[in-house]
Amino acid sequence: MSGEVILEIRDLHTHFFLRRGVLKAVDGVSFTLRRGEVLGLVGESGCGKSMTALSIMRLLPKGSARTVAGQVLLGGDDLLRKTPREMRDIRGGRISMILQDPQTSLNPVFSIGDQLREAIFRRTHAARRDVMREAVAALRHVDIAAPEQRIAQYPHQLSGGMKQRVVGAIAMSGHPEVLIADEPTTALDVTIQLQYLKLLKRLQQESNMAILFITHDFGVVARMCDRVAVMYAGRIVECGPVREVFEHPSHPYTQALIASVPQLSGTTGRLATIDGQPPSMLDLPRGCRFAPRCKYAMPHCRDTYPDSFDVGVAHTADCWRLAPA
Amino acid sequence: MTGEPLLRVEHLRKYYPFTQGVLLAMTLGEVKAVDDISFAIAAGRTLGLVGESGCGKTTTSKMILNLEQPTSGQVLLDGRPIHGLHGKALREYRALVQAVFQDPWSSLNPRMTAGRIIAESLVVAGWDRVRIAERVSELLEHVGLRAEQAAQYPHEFSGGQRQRIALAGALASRPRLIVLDEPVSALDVSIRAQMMNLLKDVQAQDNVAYLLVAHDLATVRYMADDTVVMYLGKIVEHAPTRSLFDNVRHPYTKALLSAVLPPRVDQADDEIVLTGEIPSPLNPPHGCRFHTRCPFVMRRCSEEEPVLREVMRGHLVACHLEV
Amino acid sequence: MMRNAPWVPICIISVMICMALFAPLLAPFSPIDQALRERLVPPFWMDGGSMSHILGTDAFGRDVLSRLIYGARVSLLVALLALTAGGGVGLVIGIVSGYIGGTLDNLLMRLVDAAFTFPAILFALLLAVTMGQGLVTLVIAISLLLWASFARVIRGEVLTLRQRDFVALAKVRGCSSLRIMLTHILPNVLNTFMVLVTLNIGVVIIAEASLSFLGAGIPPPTPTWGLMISEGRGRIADAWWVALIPGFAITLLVLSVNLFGDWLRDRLDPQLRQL
Repeated sequence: MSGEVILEIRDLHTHFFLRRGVLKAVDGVSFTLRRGEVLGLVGESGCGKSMTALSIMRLLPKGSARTVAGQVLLGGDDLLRKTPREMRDIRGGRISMILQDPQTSLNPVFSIGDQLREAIFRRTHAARRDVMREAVAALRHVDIAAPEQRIAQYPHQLSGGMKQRVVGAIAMSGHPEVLIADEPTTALDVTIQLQYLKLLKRLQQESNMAILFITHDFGVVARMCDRVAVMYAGRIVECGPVREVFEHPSHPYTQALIASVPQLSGTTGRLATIDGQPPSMLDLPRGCRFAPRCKYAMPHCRDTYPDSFDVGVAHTADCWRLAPA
Repeated sequence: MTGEPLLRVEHLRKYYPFTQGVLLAMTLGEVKAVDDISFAIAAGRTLGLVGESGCGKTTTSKMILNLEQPTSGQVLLDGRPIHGLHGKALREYRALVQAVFQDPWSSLNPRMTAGRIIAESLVVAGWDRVRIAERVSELLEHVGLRAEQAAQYPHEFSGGQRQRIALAGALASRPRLIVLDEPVSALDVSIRAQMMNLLKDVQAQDNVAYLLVAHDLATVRYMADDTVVMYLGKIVEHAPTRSLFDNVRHPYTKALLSAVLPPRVDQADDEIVLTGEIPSPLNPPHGCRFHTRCPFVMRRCSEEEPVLREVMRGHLVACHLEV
Repeated sequence: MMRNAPWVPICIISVMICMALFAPLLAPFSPIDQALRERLVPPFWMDGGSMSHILGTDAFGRDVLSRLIYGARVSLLVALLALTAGGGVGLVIGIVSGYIGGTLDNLLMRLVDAAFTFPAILFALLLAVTMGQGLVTLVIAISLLLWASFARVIRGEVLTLRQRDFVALAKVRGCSSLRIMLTHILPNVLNTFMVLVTLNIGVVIIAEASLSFLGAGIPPPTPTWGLMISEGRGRIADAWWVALIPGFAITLLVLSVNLFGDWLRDRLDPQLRQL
């Protein structure tokens, strides 16, 4: 299933340069993604997961944000060193992205057929009839019924789930090696979400595509991902195979997060909560960023940022409690 | 539970005309947003109202809040109808039934201080400044904030704190029922637990009933005593929460359950993944509205609409499979 | 914030406000007294000019600088009154129309449409003829010019605001429509209103100048910048300063106000950029 490393992120730093200071949105993120693997990047709002995705795609908001250090190696090529023209070819081709809100991902004044055909044509420069055929096939491939009729429709005529599938079809039309999915199901109804996740999983298995799946929902991670990286305040605090991380969460933040989600079984007593708030990204503490909210915090935690420790097979967590005695 | 329940909804319907044309608008049809629903909420208890887009739960909550008038049917508070009220009677109703909405950023007027926002119902009721100030301080502490924060503006608070302010504002007039419309969906995962615990605490202390509108069953399981599952304007299952989860009957409820993804790797064997899209409420399917996506569909389902029937004590289901 | 403030426009506007407020103290001569022996004296930097009349005199020997200073007074007064009246009416109509909606909204917006299609200058002239020239007529005429655009923009803002949850919640808390409009809607459209006011000052000043130029504004001998241009019109070739100096003053003030308005708008709400 998992093959060679296709995407490697090394020590990525992306900062926002604001009037009130420098916001370190991504502050030293490293991970690898293998062919055929689905890696979940999970965390709450403001942790930097979306910024990581945008940094990889080099789609940061112009003006205020910049990737200041690190490497983004796609098949060995550092994307951060590519020219804008090269990036335009790579995006949609070797690496593609789908976003949360299908409303804004699709242009409301063009039919979905037009948008799909544009993506296909850009890549293949084929004859119109071939492009059309490929577009219809692409829609059928994402389980859209009656694709020959749908192709002429406009985004507003489609439901949220269908729009998201069209977005997926466009993103995958270039047969990318890596797909970045940024909260693709957050705006969908739960039964539609489940449908969509199954579809995505099927497509991924068929094409052996690697997926970087960004979400705040642990349940979705459990369903979709092979490995998971938990982010907090701009850094990855725990990373490992999904089963490992869920059965043996090692970082206090991961533990607290899993414990605070209401379950379908077990008691309905009080939910475990995490006191306090995430730190301000403009003014990060020197030591472990979770320390102010951590029930196990020791003085050492506040002084020095924890190292990464092995807690299982290919499973690491950044916490001083895990240091070998 | 004896006697008249706090809130009773009887055969409630809300149809919206669907028109086309500007000068001479033609009514092409009706969107049957809510199509004959009935349920009751007892004082101090929570009823969960679950469903996805187009199920009618938001429309139902708007009617209960007297923000919309029903097309037919009635809503009764302590046995008295709530629609068609004016003046003093309407104001009294408003003091008794309050709301907390989903979006903490849209729920607070950015130009008002937290204290003034919380005091809204008291200002309308004509309380004097001193009494209002006291009650606002009391409410802020009740929801876990500090009294001094009354002078701050919404942008100075986090999402979770804003929701607390919204809750404090709802509690000001000592309501007997609060409609909670997805109160935690827009909050970060780690903050949701705080808010849900707070809601439960407040209910225990103030004996206030909740109508909890939600789209996922896990939240409902945690908070609601009774649950109503809606699909395209109709109730498909209605049971005490525990019974609902122990004995899920309706295929849609089973699908909703399957859709709650637990943070665990093992998959349930009886997972149901629905096919197809949620139909438009403008043109609901014939017979059972769920039949187009039901994995157990029979011929009867497309012809005849199933009736909500009690299949176990207190547990009602609308499904032809229940024979 | 203040670092990027448009200082030059702010200074210019401040100077003009001072001119208006302290006219009697600043003006070297009376703006209306004629001195026929000092007719058409050029500005001091030209041949025949003198330092006693820095900007020269007009056909009646009146000091251009003094008339300019007193003219600022009229222009700014008219601007203030017209913006208050026109802007105020537009604000109220915008809020009521946007919030209440339905038939009332339809009616009011049709009125707004009508106001836009109206030839405003012609109407102002008509008013001047029927009601007689004067400050009141002028203010009414210019207000009629303004109210419709205020109403339309404010209404648009209110339509969006109406969808916000806190408005529905205000109803749930028992607020009457009037209370909602006053305490929830109005404070949230004030930003837009302030920006509209600053952006329309230029419109008003030019409108006043145009109407005065056409003879429908304040009657002579009260100096207004528009009137000065009108009076100097025939002599552009040989006594250009009589018309062009007030013209330049108008341009400078309107430009400054617009630049200031742009900056204010960007500071208060980037979403208003389309204004």
